[in-house]
Amino acid sequence: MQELQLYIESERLDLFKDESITLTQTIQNIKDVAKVFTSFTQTFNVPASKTNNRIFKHYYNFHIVNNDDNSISGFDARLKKSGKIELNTIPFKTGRIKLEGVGLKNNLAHTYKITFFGNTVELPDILGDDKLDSLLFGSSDYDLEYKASTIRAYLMTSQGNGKLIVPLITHTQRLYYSGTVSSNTDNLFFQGGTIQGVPFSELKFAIRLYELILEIEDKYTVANGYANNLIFSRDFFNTSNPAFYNLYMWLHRKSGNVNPPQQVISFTSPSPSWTGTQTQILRNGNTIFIPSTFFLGSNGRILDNEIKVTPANQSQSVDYQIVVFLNGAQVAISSSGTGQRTLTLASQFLIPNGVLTVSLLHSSVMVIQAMEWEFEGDFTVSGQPGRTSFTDTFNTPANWTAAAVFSFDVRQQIPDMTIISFLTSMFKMFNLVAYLNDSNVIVVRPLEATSVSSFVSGKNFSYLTDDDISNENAPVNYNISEFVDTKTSEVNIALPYKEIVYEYEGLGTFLAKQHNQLFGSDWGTLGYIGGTDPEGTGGINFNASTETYKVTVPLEHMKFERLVNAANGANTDIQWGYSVNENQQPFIGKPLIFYAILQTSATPISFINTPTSTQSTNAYWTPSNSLVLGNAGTKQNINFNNELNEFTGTNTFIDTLFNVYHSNYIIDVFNTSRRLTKITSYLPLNILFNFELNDTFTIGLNTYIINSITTNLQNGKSSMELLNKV
Amino acid sequence: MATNYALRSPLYATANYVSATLGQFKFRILTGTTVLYTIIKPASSGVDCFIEVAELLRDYLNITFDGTNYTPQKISFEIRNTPQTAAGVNLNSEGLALSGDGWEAYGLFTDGKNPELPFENRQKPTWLLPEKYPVTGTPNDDFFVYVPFDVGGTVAGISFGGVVSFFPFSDAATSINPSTIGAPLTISRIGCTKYGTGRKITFINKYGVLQDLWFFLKAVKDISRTNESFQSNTLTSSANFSQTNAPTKLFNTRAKQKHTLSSGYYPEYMNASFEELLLSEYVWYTRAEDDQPNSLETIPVIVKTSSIKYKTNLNDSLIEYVIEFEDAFDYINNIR
Repeated sequence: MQELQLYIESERLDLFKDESITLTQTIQNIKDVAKVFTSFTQTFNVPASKTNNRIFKHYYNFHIVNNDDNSISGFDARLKKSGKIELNTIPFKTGRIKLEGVGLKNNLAHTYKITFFGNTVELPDILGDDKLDSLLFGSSDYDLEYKASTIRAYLMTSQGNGKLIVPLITHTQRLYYSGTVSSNTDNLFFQGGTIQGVPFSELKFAIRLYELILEIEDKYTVANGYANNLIFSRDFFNTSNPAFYNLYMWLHRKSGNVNPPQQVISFTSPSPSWTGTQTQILRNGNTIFIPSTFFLGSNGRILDNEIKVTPANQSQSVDYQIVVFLNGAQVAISSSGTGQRTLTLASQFLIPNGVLTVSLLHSSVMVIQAMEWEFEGDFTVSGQPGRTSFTDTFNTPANWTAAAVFSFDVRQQIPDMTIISFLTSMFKMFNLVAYLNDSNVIVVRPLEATSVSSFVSGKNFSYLTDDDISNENAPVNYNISEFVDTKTSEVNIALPYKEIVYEYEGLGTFLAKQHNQLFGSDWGTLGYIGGTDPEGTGGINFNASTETYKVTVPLEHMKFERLVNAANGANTDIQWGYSVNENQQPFIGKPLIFYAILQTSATPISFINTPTSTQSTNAYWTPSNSLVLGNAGTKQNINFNNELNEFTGTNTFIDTLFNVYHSNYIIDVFNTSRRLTKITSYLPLNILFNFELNDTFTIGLNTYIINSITTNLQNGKSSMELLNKV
Repeated sequence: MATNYALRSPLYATANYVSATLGQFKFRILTGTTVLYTIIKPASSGVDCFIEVAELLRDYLNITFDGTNYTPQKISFEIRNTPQTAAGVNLNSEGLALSGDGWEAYGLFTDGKNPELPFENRQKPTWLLPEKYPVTGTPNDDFFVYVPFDVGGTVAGISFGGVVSFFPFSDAATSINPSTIGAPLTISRIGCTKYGTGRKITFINKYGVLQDLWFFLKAVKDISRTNESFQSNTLTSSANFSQTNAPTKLFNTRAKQKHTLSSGYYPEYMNASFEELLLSEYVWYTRAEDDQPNSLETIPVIVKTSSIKYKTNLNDSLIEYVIEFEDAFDYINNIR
């Protein structure tokens, strides 16, 4: 028998009677990254006892004020109070308590209605609608110049461990290869003195997906004012896992050029990293960050702010403007002028969790003697009357140079995509599950992948078969026969769909469209109808269900092209991406991800440095849907369906996403022996507190995997949905 | 001389100030130097501004009883008021709106506003008990308690100055008459019956003090329990089962004891004490321990009887009440 104890700010509340808590855990929830932090809310009605009246200060009486600060109510219900729930004095949940109201009887308080919110809020509550452009990207590695030499270096080599690369994907130009000199500038064939090939302005940077995971971890921390530290395990997001680590996202936010043509040439130079003491406002690299706790927890106000730029003597005559970006979008710009200039950012842009950066827009090179951003405001301190003032001042290093080159700001060039959508796309592609471990790390693992995805000691850390990378959470079998209530139970059909469609949302690029028109099927898309082949083929149209379930990945899936030497019909080593629509016009599409393969002794291509000079290179980052280009090695790829490989022209790349990450679980779902069994059990505490969703239960002679369990923690009564092992 | 207020009834504190700039009163409720609550209430010049404070004070009035500690349980308080402008600027120094001692006592509707102990028609000093013939004959001189032979006790009284005290009497006493009360208390001894020496119920009466009430006749004790069960699967993996392993499993068993006590025969004026028992929120039962009958233990109980008929000599001849009590706790301890 479990008794519940409820505390608010260390004082124990009186309860009416035995309060019960019910928890539901389902395998569906762990497959949905949005539910990795299962939010816990519970509403309680507590009596208006002497103890509770003292705590809630007779909230119904709105004349009662705080003894120390008469300007606020005796109990300030505008703020949630810290609280905790214990079960038999064992800590169960910590969180915050909100007073909802008071029920009165005969004009006397009778009941306080309160809601307990667990500290773990759902991931969407933490990430909100934050987009990838709101990530900090504070490292100087992201201070990129957009010019020929830089693009060429990132195209040919692995700079900084390949964090950022330039793949051979053009935004407008239709490349081809002919081993003869031609007057067509689109020809990649290099011939000294002939201006043809790919100009640097056709190419854009791409970022490794692993870096995005690191940036998410860097931004969403308690120190930055968020409810939880977001830390992902390295079971899947691992530098040794090529299926993930070799994936890149093309930094393609707008169609066409990075820098559109301008009437007057001007250059945008982001500020260097800020320094200065952080008390309320935080800094990270060249970003300024306003934590939500400043507004919500401390009731903070920013009363004034000012950016002040002082050019060095030699740059006093250079025209420039101060530009402020919020989450990658420009929100303020000063008028153009010379000498010392200031800009005050309007208060509507000083928002919780806002990531602010400052750039200078200038017509020529200039040296900045000093740059300062000062914030003034005040906030409240719990238990202290009045408000406390603060001034946070941040400075850039003295005498930094704003060069006369175009800059490539990752925040401004990264695709317009929410972080939760990015994570969801990874979960859908690789059939990942996520849960919090005891160290509050979000463990991310494939649900049940095949061995080809193994990358450490023959393991891929599949949730249903392996332990995790910390050697924990291995599946355990429990015999619960004696705890099952046999009075009533149900055995139902387990097949809810007639077809499951795996697809990418973005199939709008030229070659993907062409594939659809030529072959009558969407590029990389699989419609699975119950075959036993791990590639997803076969099966018949089971008609018991009429529903089709779609696993739609919100990403662009490009069909790449291997170029043939038009002069002799021989294959080249050149595989490239063409980011245009079916009318061959520049195209944005969904965020594009791909494997990047650095070829170092490939067919030379011509790279146009300037309108009058070209260079040859036989090394370049090649975009691919398969992890490798040739027939040797792994056959893993990011198609759901086994398509003809763009580079080899064969269908030998059988290790599709479906085959490796989905087939084990899904093929069983369509098995004729599969049943969904619903039972009630009364589990003892040693099972109740220890079981995980990847464990199995034995009842009698049968073994089951868990689909869902709803547990009343007070009496251990559990309603279970179990799937028999087939 | 402190005034004694009944906090189970509303208690109003009033302030008044004449100023064109008066916007509000700031009331501070203190016990000693500790501020319990601060209340700010809008006010108008020359118009009474009042607050109700009984429930606020009652939060800090802790009632306890361990079977022996017959002591006055009260909260001494002051309600201070400061006239202020609407912006919170003081217009005058802080004054005293109300002060006194608060008790777990209640006045009746007919006792009117801010009832004070010992309430309407009773004069201090007096015993804090029902009087045999209130306001008839010579008032304040006719008090009785009914106890078994050879048993002592304690009774509360209030002095002329409003000081509440408890006065013990010995197991042989037949009356006491403390000088601070100035009225005799007759101790009426009830002989033993076949039901033993009686059972003592102690409760907080209308005056907010502990009062003993003896039940001399039949006592019945009941126990009731609740539980839940499920049908367990006891089949083993070798297709066998144990004939001593019960398939029906019980859990979550809880139990409560109930005590039904007969008062024995009381005079008609003692109806008031049974009424106060019924209306009390603090009741204890002193009984012989189950495993050591010579030792007594005191347990908190709840009066389950929710209504009684006032009995009269004319209608009922003999006046006896049967009251049902229930343990104010689970029999199987589950305090966590």
